[in-house]
Amino acid sequence: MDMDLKKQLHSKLSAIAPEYGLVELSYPSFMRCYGYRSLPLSAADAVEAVSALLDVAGGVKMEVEVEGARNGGEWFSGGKLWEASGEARRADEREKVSTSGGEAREGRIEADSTNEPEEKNTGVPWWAKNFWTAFDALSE
Amino acid sequence: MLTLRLAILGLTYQYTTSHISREHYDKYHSIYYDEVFRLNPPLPLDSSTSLHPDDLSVRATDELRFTLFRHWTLYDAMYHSSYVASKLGIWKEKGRKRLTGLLAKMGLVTLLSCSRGLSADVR
Repeated sequence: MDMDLKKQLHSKLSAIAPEYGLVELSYPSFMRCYGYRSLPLSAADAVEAVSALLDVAGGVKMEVEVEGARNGGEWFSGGKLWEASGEARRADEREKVSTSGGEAREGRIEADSTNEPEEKNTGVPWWAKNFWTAFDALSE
Repeated sequence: MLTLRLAILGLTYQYTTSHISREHYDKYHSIYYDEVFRLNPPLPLDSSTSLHPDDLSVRATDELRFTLFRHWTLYDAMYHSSYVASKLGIWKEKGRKRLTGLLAKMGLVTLLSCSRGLSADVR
């Protein structure tokens, strides 16, 4: 895409988009620079990246091209996150929830009230892992 | 500084997922805008890239409501953003035609808008 278009995109869109009912198309936001390591990353892109980490980091088998890991540098901390190993456990968990829904829920409430660690044998649940992955991406 | 960045991310998340209204967003945005200018050195106008190797500053920009439009093609970004999709009715043939019509009216051939990455060759 040529430089001309990049500069004119905002003005062009705001001139034409209202015809199609697209009002409030742009909004003031922020972006963060990364020195010469990477291009500046805008807040909206960062939000997309972090919510993607929260949803699927380590849980879904996915092929990520090396090009994609470059965008944002530290936000995607390496390709090793995208292993398929988590998927099996996640499917197991989903099955368990769907088969014994009510019972499990009651049991969990009980376990909570007695302060017992739940699901001792499965280790850390996938969503907790995803949370820490996103947490690491957000910190310096 | 870290707190400010996290606050901005949280606010942006709430706005892009339509949890808060535009008025609400503007209210908090103006607060963060002042903070950004207080904590970061003033910039020369119209600079979109980093100034020096250790430039980790936050700066204000205008943002479009397209998903990842700096990294995807313009067509993809518009097609996959919920705001544009709901306004144009992208799930119907007619809506898709309206999107290509909009791009054509901006003087973009479909081929051109399919070239990747709005910021890819700024560097």
